[in-house]
Amino acid sequence: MQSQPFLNDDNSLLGHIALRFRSAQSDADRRQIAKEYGQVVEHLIQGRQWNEMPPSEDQLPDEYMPTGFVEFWSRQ
Amino acid sequence: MPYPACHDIRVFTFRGDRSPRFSAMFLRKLLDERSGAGPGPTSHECLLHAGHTGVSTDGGAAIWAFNPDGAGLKICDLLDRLKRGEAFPGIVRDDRTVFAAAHLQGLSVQTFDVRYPNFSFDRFKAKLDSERERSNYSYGFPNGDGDCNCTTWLERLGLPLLTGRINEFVALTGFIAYPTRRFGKCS
Repeated sequence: MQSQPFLNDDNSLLGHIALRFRSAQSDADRRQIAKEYGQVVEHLIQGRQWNEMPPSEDQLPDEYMPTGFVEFWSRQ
Repeated sequence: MPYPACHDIRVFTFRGDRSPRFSAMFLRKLLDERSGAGPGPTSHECLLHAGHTGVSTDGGAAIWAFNPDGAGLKICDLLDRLKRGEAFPGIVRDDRTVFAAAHLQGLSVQTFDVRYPNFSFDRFKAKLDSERERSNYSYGFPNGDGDCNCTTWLERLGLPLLTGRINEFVALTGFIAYPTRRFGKCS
């Protein structure tokens, strides 16, 4: 995962990654960015303190969203 | 010579309800709409989840706000395309019922006033009037192909959102985290 020194929480990091996704020029870039997004989601799920779903603008399109995201928020 | 009279433009904004309970309901409706198992969320529910910003020139009797025109699209498809960075035509609606619903839901609806002399107020009001219904701007998520979203639309209307205090400006959390911001399609 690329370091994001100025983002001090994972939810903010998701928003930052979503911004990068929307500026990505190729599908390879989008896949790489989605992988980073998935790692942050996994970290949030493992932390067991994820109590606020990111807004839609901080999410990726369905095709790129990690399955863990939907599973986690569906069982809340 | 007397000073010109002041008029207030009131900005309304609230942070969306993204609590586990509301988010699970919202997500379930999106999934149901996608699979055809049920209706998707209403546009009100989308805004209650996302948060919203609007502006009033009459103390809140009408709160004008900028939205994407997703006519003919399912909500799940509209959101998916916005997440991809696509732009949609902007429409400006009186969304006071959305802000009232947010208040009823226990969300904190925050306001502040921009005080203008009457000539600046009239200029703003004329611009707002020209935006009603079909906007001159396209809607998009941040860093997408659209000109603005509901918040940055106010900047397009020339409404100052900052006091001008340098400490307020440099303390904006996005200032360092998002050193580059794109508004509109370009490469």
